[in-house]
Parts: sequence; C-alpha cells; structure tokens
Amino acid sequence: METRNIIFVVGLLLAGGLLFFVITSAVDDSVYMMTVDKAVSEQAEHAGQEIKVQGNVVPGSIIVKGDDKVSFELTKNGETVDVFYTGPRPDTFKDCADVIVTGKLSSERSFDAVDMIAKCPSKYDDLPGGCDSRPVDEGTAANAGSESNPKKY
Amino acid sequence: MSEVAIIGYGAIAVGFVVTAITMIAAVIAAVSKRARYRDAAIYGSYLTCALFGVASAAIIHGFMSHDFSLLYVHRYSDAAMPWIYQLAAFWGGQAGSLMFWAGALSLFIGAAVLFHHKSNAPLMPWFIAVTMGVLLFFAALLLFVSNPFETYALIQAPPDGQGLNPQLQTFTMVIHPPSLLLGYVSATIPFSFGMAALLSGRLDDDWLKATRKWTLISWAFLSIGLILGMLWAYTELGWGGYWAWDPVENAALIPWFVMTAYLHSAVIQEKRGMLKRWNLFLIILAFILTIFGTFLTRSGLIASVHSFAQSEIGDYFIVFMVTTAPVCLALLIYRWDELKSESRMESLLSREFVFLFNNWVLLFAAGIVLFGTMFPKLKEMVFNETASLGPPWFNKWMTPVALTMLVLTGVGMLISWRRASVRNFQKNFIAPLIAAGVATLLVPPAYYFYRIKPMGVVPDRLDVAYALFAVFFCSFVLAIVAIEFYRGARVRSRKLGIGFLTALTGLLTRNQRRYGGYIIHAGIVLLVFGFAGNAFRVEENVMMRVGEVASLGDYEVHLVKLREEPDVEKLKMFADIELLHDGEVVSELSPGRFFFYASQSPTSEVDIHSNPTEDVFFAVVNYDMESNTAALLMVINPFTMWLWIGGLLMVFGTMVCMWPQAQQVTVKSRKRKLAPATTVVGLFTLAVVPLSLVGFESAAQAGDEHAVAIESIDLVDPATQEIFDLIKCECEGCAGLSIGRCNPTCGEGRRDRALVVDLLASGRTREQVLQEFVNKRGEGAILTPKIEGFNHLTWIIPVIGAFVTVPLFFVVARRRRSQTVPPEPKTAKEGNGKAEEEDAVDDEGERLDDLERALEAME
Repeated sequence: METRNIIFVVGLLLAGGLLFFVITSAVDDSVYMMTVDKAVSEQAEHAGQEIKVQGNVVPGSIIVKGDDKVSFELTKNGETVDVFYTGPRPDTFKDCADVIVTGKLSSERSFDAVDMIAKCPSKYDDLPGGCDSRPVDEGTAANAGSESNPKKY
Repeated sequence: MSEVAIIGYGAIAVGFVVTAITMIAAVIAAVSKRARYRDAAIYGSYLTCALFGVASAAIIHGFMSHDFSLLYVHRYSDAAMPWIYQLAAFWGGQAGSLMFWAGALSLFIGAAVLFHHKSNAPLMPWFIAVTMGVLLFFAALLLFVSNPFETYALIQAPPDGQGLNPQLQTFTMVIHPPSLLLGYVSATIPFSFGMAALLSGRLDDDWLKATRKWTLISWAFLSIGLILGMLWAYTELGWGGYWAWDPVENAALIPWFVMTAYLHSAVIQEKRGMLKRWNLFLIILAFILTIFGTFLTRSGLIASVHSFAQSEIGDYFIVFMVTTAPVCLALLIYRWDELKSESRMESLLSREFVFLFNNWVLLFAAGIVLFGTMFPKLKEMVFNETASLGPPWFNKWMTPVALTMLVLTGVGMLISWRRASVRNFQKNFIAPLIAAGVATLLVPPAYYFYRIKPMGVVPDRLDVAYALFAVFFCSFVLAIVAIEFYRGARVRSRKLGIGFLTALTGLLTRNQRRYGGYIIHAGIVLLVFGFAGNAFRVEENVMMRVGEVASLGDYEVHLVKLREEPDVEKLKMFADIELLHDGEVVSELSPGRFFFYASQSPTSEVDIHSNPTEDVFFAVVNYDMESNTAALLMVINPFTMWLWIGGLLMVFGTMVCMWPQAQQVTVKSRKRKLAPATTVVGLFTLAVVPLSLVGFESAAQAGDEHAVAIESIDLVDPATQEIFDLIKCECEGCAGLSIGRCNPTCGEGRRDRALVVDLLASGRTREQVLQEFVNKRGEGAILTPKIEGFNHLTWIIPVIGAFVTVPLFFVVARRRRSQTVPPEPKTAKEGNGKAEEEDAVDDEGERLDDLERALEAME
C-alpha cells in the first residue's frame, strides 16, 4: 500500500508541475488581442509590445505605396488608427473588410503591422459582412458599404 | 406553403413524439422487465429512423428540386450548382447540420438496436432509453429552435438561391463535414452502452464488447474528417499549410484523442479485467467532448476562421452538457464499488502499463489542446483581457507529446502482458531496434546532404533532436509492423503450404483486429513523419513581375505570364510558372485566383508539385494585370505526401478491423408475436393525430413570419395559381420560371398576373386564358407541364420512401428475430476459467511463434 501512496504522490507532483508549465507558457506565449478602441485607450500598457488589433478598414483610406507596402485606416467603435503594413495583401483585404493586424503601436494613432489577416465573407456566416460597425458620421463609408454588399432583391 | 415543408416538418414533429414515447417505453421496460414494452421500444427506435429519414429526404428533395420557398434551400444553394454540391448544402448551414445529426443518429441507433437487441438483450432497454434521450434533444432543437423547413410566403418563393460559398464547393468539402459529424454522432452509441451498463448494473464486459465496433466507426469517421479537413485547408485556403490549431479543428481533435485512449484501455479491460471505471469515465468524457465541440463551433465563443453561423444554439448545447455530465458522473460514482478491478497491475514493464501510460499521454494531449483553445476565453474571464494563443505554443507542447506517443506505440505493440521478461525483450525488441538504429544512422545524414543543405535550411537545434528521435521511432514502429507481417505470413505459408503473398493477404482476413491494428499504426507513423517535415519548411513571399525569376530553396521559380479567363459565374486568373531545379524545368504550374461575381468573393486555386521528398506549393496572394505583377506564396513542404498516404493507411486499417467476420450458423424459429406490432401501431397513431395538427400550425406560422420579407402580391385561389404556374415569365433573370414563381418585384410578371386575373374576371376559361397568351407571345409563352409533373413526382418520392422503409424495418427486424439464435447461456467455465484464459493470452502471434518453433524442430 505504501508504494501505491508514493506513486500517487509522485504522480500528483508531476501532474501539478506539468500543469504549472502549461499555464505559465500559455501566459508567456499569448499575444494580446483587442479592438481598435481598446488598443487606443490602453496603449500605455502595451507600449513596445506585440499585439493584435481587430477592426474594419475605413473605405477609401487604402493607399498602396509600392509593391508590398500599404497604409490604411482601421476603425472600430468610433476609434481609428493608421496602419502601416509591409507584406503581401490578402485579396479579401478591401474597403470595410474585417481585418486583424499583428504588430506594435508606434505612436498614439499609428500602428506598424507585420502580419495581416482579412476575414473572408462566408456563406456560413449569418452576420452581414462589411461595415456593420462603422461610425455613423462617416457618410462616405456608408455609401461604399452599401455598394460592396449587393443584394439581389 | 410548400409540400416539402409540410412533410419534413411533420416528420420531425411526429419523430419528436415517437422518440419521447419510445424513451418512456424503454424506461418502463427496463424497470418492469416486461417484454411487451421492450419490444415496443425496439420497434419505436426503428420508427424514429424512418421518420427522421423522411425529414432528411425531404430537405434533400428541397435542394434537388430547387424549392426556394424553403429559406434554408434559398440560403445555401442556387439553381446552377451541380447536384453533388446541392447535396453538400444539406449540411452547409446550422439547421441542416442539426437535421443531418438527428437523421444520422436515428440511423445509428436503429442499426445498433438491430444488431444488438439479441446479443445484448439485458442492456437494450436502458440503451434505447439513453439514445432516445440524446435524440430527443436534437429533435427538440429542430422542432423549436432551428427548423430547416422554414418557408417564405405562400406563393412567392425567390427565383433563385444565394448559392454556397465557392470555397466550400469542392470534393473534400462534400465529405469532410459529414464525416466529422458522423464521428460526433456515432460517439453516442458506445456512450449509451456504457450508460446502459451503469443504469442496469450489468457491469461485466458485455457492454464493452458491444461498443468495440461502434467506437472504431466513430474513431474512423473522426479521423477521415480531420484528414480531409487538412487536405481541404491545404488545397483550398492557400496559406501553405494544413493544420493551424484553429478552435474548430481542435474541437474535433480533442474527442479523437479521448476516443483513441478508450480504444486502447478497452483492450486492457477485455484481456485483464482492469480499468473498468477508467473506461466508463473515458467514454462519458468522449461523448461530452463531442457535445462540447459542437458548442464551441456553434456558439462563436472563440474566434475562429470557420465563421459558422453564430447563434443562441450554443446555449442549448451547454445546457445539455451541464445537465448530462453530472448525471453520468454521479452514476459512475454510484457503481464505483461494483467496478473494482479483477486483477492488479503486476509490473510497470507490461503491456497493461504501457497502454495505461499511453492513455495518460493521450488525455494530457486532449487537455493541452482544450486548455489552449479555451485560453483566450479563460484569460478574458480571469483578467478581463483578450489574448490569442498561436500555433507556436501548441507545437511546443504537442511535439514532445506526439513523440512520446510514438515511443509508446512501438513498445506497446511488442511488450508482453502481465510482466515482460528478458526473453520477451530479446525475441521482439532486438530486431526492430537494430533496424531503427541503422535507419537513423543512414537516413538523416543522407537527407541532410540531399535536401537540407541544398535548400539552405538551418533548422533549429531542438528541431534536429526531435527529427532524429522521430526518425528512430518511426522506423522502429514500421520495422515492427513489417516483421510481424513477415512472421505471420511465413508461418501461414509453411503451415498451409500456400504462397507467401496469399498467406500475407490471408492474415488480414484471419486476425483482423491484430493486423488491421498494425496497418493503422503504420499509418499514424507516416502521419507523424509528414508532420515532422515541417521542421525543414521553406516559405517565401515574393512580389514578382512577369519574366522575373525568384529562388525558393534550391529551386528557381520563373513567372512566365499572367492571364485572365472570364466565364459565366467567375473571373479566373492564372499565374503560369516554371519550376526549375539545377537549370532544368521540373514542372509547369498554374496557381490562380477565381473571383466569383455572385458572392463577390475570391478563392485561391493553389498548385502543388508533389514528390516523395517534398511538396512545392504555390498560391497567388494577389495580382495586378496592369503592372504584370503577382504576389506569390511559395512553400517547400517536406514529406507532405506521406501525410495523405498515412491517412489512407489508417482508413484501410480501420476497415480491415471492422470487416464483418464469418457468420454464425443460424436456426430458424417461426414464432410470431403480435403484441409488439400492435403496441407500435398504437403508439404511432397516438403520436400522429395530435401532432400532425400542432406541427402544421406552427410550421405555417413560421412561414408567415417571413412573408413580410418578400414584397407580397395578392393571394389568389388555387385555380388561378395553377394558371400562373403555366405561364412563362418574360422578365430578365426569371428564365424558365412561371409568373407564379418568379420574382415578385419583376414588372412583366406583375403585368401578366394582372392580365390573367382580368381575363378570368371577364369570364374566360383556363384554356381561353392560356390561348390568349399563346396568341400574343407564341407557343413559348406556356411552360411545359412536364416540369410540374416532375416536381410532383419528386416530392412524392420521400413519402413513398417512408412507406417502403417503415415496413422494411419491420420485415427485417422480424426476420432477424426468427433467424438469430439466442446467445448461449454463459457457462461456469467462463467465470472460473478467466485466469486460464488470461494465461493463454489469445495473442495469435505467440501461438504462431510456437508453431514456428514446432516447424523448425520438425525440420
């Protein structure tokens, strides 16, 4: 019986140790992900840290600067940042696209991105894609949005 | 309202009640032990099969006949889609996948009852009760929450559907989702056997033996689903990989790990009478995890690339899970003392312990993946911060876990039961260890000089250590499998005097579980090998102009030209590439992008040059025709081909394991019982009468809610509608549709409808009205009634199907009843002789070895 107890205790310690490493490594390896407004309001906390920011591309803001450089405005819940990105652009990347960029905030309103994912509009998705979360006061956005989402009837 | 909707929704409604009544009958049968109720429950379960079968047939019919009055059909298909994708659209959305789930579940239950109601008679009542409970949950979801038969307004169906996402219109997508779903669904069967054992208190190994094939079926479907999912991601999504630790992928992988653990620990209980509690725990866990997986994918709790419809449906799954899990665990604790092991672990150097250890590793793997998947949510709950945990973290943990499993795979196949001896080690381990050692000394250096160095890859040190380890143990396991096959075949060919190859194939039919298992493990090894290739992956993102040459490892990539080819539904773009190696053209490839006009979405058409050492993968990220430039993603993926070969081997091995064994001799008995049949008919009538009323009413209401969505036109009497249906609509976009079916907003249709109403009002007959249109617009104005006839015929088919299937079930059931022999009563031998049986450990290999020695002695 005693050996069983010893095995049990050793097993428990091992399991506990593993659990500890799993959790701490997850905490270390995880990247903060937030919407544009949160990134702006909490930027002091994440200064110099790599983060992921999610938002929608402001229609008309995409400026292509050469083969693999692009800048655009990303907006969510009324806040906007300028994103500077170098790398291949997914072709679902367009006005209104729901985009997640990975990188660092270089100043209050500008973000240097090293990676970009644009969600593709999917028929599996019940939510209408596009600029559903755009700020109401942007007239141009509203126009562009309705065009990019054609309805048959 | 559409006939399809009436039939389908009616079948669901009746199915719901039949399921409930069957469950009650089964519980009464279990408690009272009355045969009448037991038989009623058995036939009731067949009946649910027929009813959910009819409902599934109705939705499929809706797709095939382009019945766009059904919201679901309208949303996930269009008239131009090939039939195979119409079929795939069945499970393309939420309501349909629930329908598929209920239909498949009822079918699995029916089959399980059919095959086991004699051999596992004592477990049957509780088994039916539990399965019906699960089915009831899905029937309720279909009936009250997510109805696949919701319809548009009475007359005005939209002229065409919205189509299915083009990325989903591929062959892999036709098989991948239903395969995963079937894996999830069939997990209910072993779970229910386990629960039936707990509820009935019959805790011997009968339940476990009954689950054997069902668990394999579930495991096989999950495996196929996972592998096809990888294949789809690799060939359709265009990011150059196949596994990204996406929550939806993980949701299927977690139960797969648990199911794999159960398959192994069940063997220990069969052979040694140990781990009874553990097995029940595992099967409960596997089932709960399939429900959890569905919850995870449907609730949108964790952000994923699979953007499924996110709805409140997830809440129902979590409620189901939270209520089921404690009940199951409470039952397990209630039976705790009765589930004592019959024997104890004798040594850490035994197959039992290796299997148990493999169980822990598998559960640890499941735990890691679950934790990693939930981590963003956990962090949000605890710290109110969102975070994402990427593939590097998963890889960091899962690589050593996978390698540990690889070691255990090899050791577990060779080590003997109870206690390994030195002789066991000498006899079994030395040859494969030598083979593995030789392979490790030869293969990695050869690969280094042949590929790694030329490609210019500088792998990470840890990766190199992992790779060497993987090579050693992969070849170890493959050597074991090869040696086992060789030995078995040699003995057989000598003993029976047949050729070596005949003997080799004979092994597969003679001892299926053993040799099928070897094949599966060889498949797993190839999978691991394929994954390991990622350590030497080369990836380049290049912006190229036509005529330029870029380098990728030791390949050169020449962009020859960009071309665009528009067709009816999409704009196709291709980048023609020459792949050069040592200055010679190895392959000409044309990756591209298709842009679909209807959905305004692009798809990536990747092109892959594949050979046994590596895949060279190309995808066009974006392009510009004016400046003749394209951004290309180019990847060298070492060993990827082996991944798919491994997958095929796994499927083949599972099929070998499951192949039915030689039939037992059956004796006829002509005894008939009327009681069960009358009970079923009585129950059915009871169910149909009130429900047919309730069902139609609520279905009609559901339809009315959506009437507002379409611009309505005046309702007309059926005679007028019939004329509407015969006159062709002239407006653009309504090609081939009648004015009764075309777009309500289209002017010509509206004009003609008004004309028909006017003509009728002025006293003309139907023929005169039609003649008027022929006079005005020629013969073409009238649609051929053939189409209508066809439509009627097709909606009748499911009904006929129902009328055929229901009696068929009875006939089949009756024939099985009269043919099968009741299982022989357990003799005392089996109880007392357990120890003997264990000693004789029915390891054919050992028997073969003895034979071999005898043969050698004779020589």
